[in-house]
Amino acid sequence: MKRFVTPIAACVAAALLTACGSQGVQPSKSITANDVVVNYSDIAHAIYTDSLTTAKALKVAINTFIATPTEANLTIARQAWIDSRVPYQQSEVYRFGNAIVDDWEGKVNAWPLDEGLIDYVASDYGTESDVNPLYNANVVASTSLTIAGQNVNTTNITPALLQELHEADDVEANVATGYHAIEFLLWGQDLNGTNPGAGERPATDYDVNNCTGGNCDRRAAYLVAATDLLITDLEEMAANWSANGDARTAILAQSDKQGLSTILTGMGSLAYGELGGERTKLGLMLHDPEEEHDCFSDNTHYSHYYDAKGIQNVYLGEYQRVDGSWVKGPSLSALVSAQDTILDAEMKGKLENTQNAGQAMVDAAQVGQTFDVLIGMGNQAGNQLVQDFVDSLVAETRTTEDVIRLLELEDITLEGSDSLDDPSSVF
Amino acid sequence: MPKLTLNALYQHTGTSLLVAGFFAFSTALMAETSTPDKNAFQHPFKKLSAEQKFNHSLGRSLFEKFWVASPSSTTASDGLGPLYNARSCHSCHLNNAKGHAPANLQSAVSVPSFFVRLKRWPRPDGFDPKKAVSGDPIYGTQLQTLSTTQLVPEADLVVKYDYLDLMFEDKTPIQLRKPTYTLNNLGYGAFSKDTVLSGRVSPALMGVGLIDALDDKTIEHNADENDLDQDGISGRSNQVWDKINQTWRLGRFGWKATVATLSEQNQSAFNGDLGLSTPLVTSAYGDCTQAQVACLSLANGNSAHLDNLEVSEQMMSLVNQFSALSAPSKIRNLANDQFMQGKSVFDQLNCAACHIPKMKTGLVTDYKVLSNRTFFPFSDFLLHDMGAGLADTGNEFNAKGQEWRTTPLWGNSLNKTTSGRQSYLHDGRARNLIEAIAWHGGEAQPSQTAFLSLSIKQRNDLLYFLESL
Repeated sequence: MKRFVTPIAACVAAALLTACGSQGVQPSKSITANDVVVNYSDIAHAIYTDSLTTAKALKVAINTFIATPTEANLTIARQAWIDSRVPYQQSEVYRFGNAIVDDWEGKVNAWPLDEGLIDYVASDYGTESDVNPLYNANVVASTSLTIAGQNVNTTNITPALLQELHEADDVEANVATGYHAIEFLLWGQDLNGTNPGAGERPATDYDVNNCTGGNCDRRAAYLVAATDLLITDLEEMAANWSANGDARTAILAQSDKQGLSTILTGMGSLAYGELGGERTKLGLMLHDPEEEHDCFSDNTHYSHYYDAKGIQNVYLGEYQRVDGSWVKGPSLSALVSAQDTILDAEMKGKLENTQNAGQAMVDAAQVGQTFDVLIGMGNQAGNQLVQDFVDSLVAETRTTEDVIRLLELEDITLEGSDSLDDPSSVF
Repeated sequence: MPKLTLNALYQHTGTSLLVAGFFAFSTALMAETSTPDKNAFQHPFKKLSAEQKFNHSLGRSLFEKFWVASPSSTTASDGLGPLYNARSCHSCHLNNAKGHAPANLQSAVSVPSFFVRLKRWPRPDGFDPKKAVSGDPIYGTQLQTLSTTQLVPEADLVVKYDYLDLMFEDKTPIQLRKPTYTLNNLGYGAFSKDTVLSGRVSPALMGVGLIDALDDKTIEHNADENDLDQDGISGRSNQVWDKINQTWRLGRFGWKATVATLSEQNQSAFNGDLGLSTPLVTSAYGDCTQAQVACLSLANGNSAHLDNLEVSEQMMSLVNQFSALSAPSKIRNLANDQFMQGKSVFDQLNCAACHIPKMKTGLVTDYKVLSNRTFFPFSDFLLHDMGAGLADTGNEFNAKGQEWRTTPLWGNSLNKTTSGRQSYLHDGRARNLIEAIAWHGGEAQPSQTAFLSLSIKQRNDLLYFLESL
């Protein structure tokens, strides 16, 4: 491997004589692995704080809309939701590798959801599901529900009730809370398939004096409760990344190698698995809008763009806040560059390619070719645009793996892989 | 830390360079892994290419996909049933882990990871020997307790247990439970008089690619049908019809080793459990029989863009890759004294005669990572007479009622972590490992007897060992 003629190789050679090799990660140009992890945590704190700020702005818009349920106010509330997704999606790279985020994330961003749990749905949605007895429970229209044999009083729709309903009966698709529940309540089902158009819920679904869809007061209560809960949840995660927060403490308690591995695992897992695979390629392969991530609002292009942006942020050690200011600090990029400038340039190039491919989907959406249209059968140009995004994410993953090798982090892996302890010595 | 030779470390890193070897050594000394979580059985093997990992991940998404009834606007996800046991692979194999049996008097509807196999015994005239069993003429080869809205389910199945008391030699009691099945609201008339029922629980799926990659002769090597070595353990292979390669050969998947290849097993499950057509099992109506006319008259989900199937070639290939490339969990506590003490009880009880610890795969061309690889399943993948207590009725290919395939013991350490489902033996009757061992009879009777005479310390050591696998 020609790239190996770098400080790390020198270190390995030196390791034969001294103890310097045992860490694998060498401080260079005064940037240490610890510096990188601290900056990674600082960025997390900024992102979750911005997510909280924009969620509070969403709450203001929703309050206004519910007080005066006009189409104009609904549009403003929808825009506030779209704005709130900008910082939040950039946080997703923290989910993989940080157990504290992954365990929490389901409450906030779980998807896909069986929307019939929450409110009315179109009749072809079906009426039953073996795995989900609450498939069409319709909390908005019901004052009591039976969950796993237990009667639950749903007269008052409160944040506490939604918490109880969320992933009720251990069914993951019972998403009662978070961004996508709010999205569904603002947009309604997108019944346009792979044709242009998002959900078309009328503002009158919230107009108690001229109510459409029934139970407008309960629907409004649900929307408010879900938004309040989102704010509470985001407060919790922002605190987790503050000075003595649990998430920051957890990653800083790890060894240098584990810390870097957590960061890179997050980047790679999001890129090839969650974003490239489940959220993009699957829908493209099946031409199925059911697989679209922000399926009610048709905001998937931005969702994907900012997901990928989050990966780039973490590598570059920088994040532009919603107020336009920057958080910048010691980066993984600098750490890699100190050992291998070519690999660092390649990694940056791959990340930029992904952003360009994401931008192309955003541009397409501006002219009506939203993600669900792009993946439609027969839309060859659209399909290719989405495929380019997938390809760039896979290419990015490959280079991420080179970085993992450079930093000698290969053996710090997820469970399920080959064991370092060789059972052959016993069996 | 177990003894690690430098040589073994070279093998681990796949290089023999002194410098790299030294580096690997220093890394191994600081062996660090992340804490296992519920996804522990879904991680791919190391050293896959980015494309293979990507396909593994896509396959996982399909594995978790909820299917819907036809017709539907979502043509890629429709075709469920019309009669079915579950809406997704994941429903039964939650997080790729094992399923469980219903509790006493619980309806099987709420436990998709359990179903009942139907077979006529004795086999009727005209039985096709290339099939494992002759299904009921109306209900087919398994009972589907769910259906799409246009049909009624086949039956409401309720599991009832009879309890049996047993005791260790030191008087510590063990309570075993044996299931009986009650069928209410039969949807399609009476069963054939010769139809018998056998409960089945979904197995864990991590590592199945390694089982698939074993050469037939590797498994056959341990067979001793007539017990020529007179150790009391026979072990024989089931000879089955391999639908993919269109040949008779050794079976290795399923509770009775009735299926020869992983792909056939996966496709049979899609068809029988979810009612989906696949490239190999092409009926869009799953297990609906000719007698279930209403079922056959419903819309199906076969789509032109999916090879006129519900599960297309591409989708099938991805699900196959997900299952083949999900790595088994590692053995834990290897360096612990209690592990070694438990292992010696395991050896003393002759468990390893069937639960063979170590196997090696053959040459695999499509996945290098599975090729010529040593792994630790703790199974010989052969049929053994397990006694009357566990027997069901009716052969499946050659496998008799008393014969069951040795269950691999890997993954025990993470049952709680992955699915939280703890259920052992073919019908999930054993709620823990003690019960599972206590049910062993037939060839395993001497081992069971020896187990009951163990001291509490020996039992704890054995359980510690088993729960480290």
